[in-house]
Amino acid sequence: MKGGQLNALWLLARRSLRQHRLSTALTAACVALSVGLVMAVFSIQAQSRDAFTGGAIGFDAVLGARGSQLQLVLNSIFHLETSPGNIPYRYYKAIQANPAVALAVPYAVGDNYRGYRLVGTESTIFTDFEYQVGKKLKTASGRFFDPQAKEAVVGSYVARKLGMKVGDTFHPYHGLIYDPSAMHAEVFTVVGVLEPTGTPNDRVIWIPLDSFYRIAGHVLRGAGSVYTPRDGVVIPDQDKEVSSVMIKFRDPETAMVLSQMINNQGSVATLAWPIPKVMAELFDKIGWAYRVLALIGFAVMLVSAMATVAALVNSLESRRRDFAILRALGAGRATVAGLMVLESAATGALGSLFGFAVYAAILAAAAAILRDSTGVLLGAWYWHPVLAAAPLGMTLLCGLAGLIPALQAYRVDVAAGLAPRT
Amino acid sequence: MPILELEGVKKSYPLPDGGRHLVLDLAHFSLGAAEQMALEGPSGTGKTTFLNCCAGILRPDSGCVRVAGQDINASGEAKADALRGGSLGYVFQTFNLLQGLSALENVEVAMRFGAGWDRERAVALLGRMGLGNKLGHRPGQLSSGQQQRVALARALANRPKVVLADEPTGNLDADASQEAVELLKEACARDGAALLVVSHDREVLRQFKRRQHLADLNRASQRPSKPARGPRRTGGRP
Repeated sequence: MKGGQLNALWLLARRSLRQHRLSTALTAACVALSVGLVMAVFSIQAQSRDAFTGGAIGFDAVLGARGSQLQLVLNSIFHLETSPGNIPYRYYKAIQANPAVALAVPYAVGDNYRGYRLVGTESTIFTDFEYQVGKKLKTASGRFFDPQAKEAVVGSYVARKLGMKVGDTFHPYHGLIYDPSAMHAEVFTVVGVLEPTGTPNDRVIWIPLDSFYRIAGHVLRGAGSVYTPRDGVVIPDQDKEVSSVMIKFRDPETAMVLSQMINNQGSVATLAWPIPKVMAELFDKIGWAYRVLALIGFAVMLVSAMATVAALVNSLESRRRDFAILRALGAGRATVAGLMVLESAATGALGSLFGFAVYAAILAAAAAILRDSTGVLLGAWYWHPVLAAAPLGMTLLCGLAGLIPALQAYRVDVAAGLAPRT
Repeated sequence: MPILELEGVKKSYPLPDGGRHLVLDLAHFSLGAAEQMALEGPSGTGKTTFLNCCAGILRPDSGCVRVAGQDINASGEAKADALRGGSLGYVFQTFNLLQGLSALENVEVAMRFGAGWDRERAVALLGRMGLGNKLGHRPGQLSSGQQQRVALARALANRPKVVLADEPTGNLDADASQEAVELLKEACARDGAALLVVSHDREVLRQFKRRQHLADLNRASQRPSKPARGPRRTGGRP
């Protein structure tokens, strides 16, 4: 086929799509939905996996009560799930003293404020912890808490959602789920609001560990017996407990040795290490759900391609004359058939283009849900091969499906097509 | 050498009972280069079948159709398509313009399947037809006379050697009809194209020096007509 004829086909295809604009718009919308859905499924799956397994975690391992490593990671890193229990404070001190450990930060959880969890911790979370290389938690306003005061530093997301600002006061609520009847009497004052980090830390209200211990109703069993903190009395280290200890290693080999020692030989604590591997296991377990979603997406793509073809086939009868005219002007059978393939592929391409808008909408909705529930951010400009493969594949699929009406166009009888209609 | 020549051309259509209805049976017909001629015949005498055979749109049962010395059916359909695109212009009774395209695009599309795109010529042709200010109008936005002139410009787009016109004034009133035929003759003469018009309209026929009754050429119409044998199948308009 000559270049001029290709240009003619392109012009005819464009004009035909314009002439049948309602049908074109509907089929392109079907294509856009299917392409957007497939792109979103793959992109969200990959992005969330990246975020949960290799995102800005900042720690290498979590030490916690004996139990599931996954639960420990979800609870301590992503501030989801319940805590598997507590470990004595001395475990934290022992880990902290290990020369292979660069940083150990204790977490105590069990209270919330209007659904956002309070994490009792030490000032090192602000002074030494880097959630990404070279990036520490910084205050957007105010300052970090006094370790001995009933003060709070609020994550950016919590501050925005609850409208909290420096100087505000609040009562903690017992438990990790907000129950208005479980209000503690203590009053904490917001002294700082953190800058956004795009990590689960944005969804946390940080309070001093000592103040966490002293909230009425909290009892400590670090030494085996119940210890109730009293005002003005220093809490002995042996009575303290923590929910988990966040660890950054200097030497990964030590992590392996510690993991062997704690997980295989010990019976009191669990070391969740390495964190990305623990989370990857979660994604492997729920991988079937993504495969099902992808399968649905592919099925919808196929249905969309068939809808495109159905629209073209339905228009064939009214276009027999056009095909006959083109043949009379010198267009060959293959050229007329090619017009159908081109129109089908063009509808696929047009729909795929709008598919990016559908993809962006689904991604925005998913990102909002993920951010609200985990604090993890999805990127709008995340690259995944599906962003090229789905539109191109859909265009190709529509082009191939266009062979069905193309065959019918190929068979059009010129003389019959040109005959005046009565 | 004739620019269009038909030798021993026969064309028949199948009948529901398995027989065939012979519509065209020509011993010989020829049209010289740049010659202008009108073929006369009432409806149903095979005028359109004759023109479609000339254009390679219908393949005769037997015989030979030569355009510019080349047998239009000798080398398969692709050859016929190429000859139709390059050497023939066809003006249909119902104009057969592509409704989705503008007047200019209708002419340009024909060029792309023929001699090649030439915007300047397309504009000039439509200008000559008095449509210089209607280039962007689609057929639905034009009067019948204007559509007919677009069809004429399209037929001349590829500098054809022969222009075939099938009842070109069938949808026009008397005044427009005379003007259209004058335009057709003048345009073909200017481009050096032969013109073959088939019509049953005496006013149209009167405008041509060379006129002939198709019935005089067509032996099929000289035979006694057969009794009606049920509806014809589609596949052409005899």
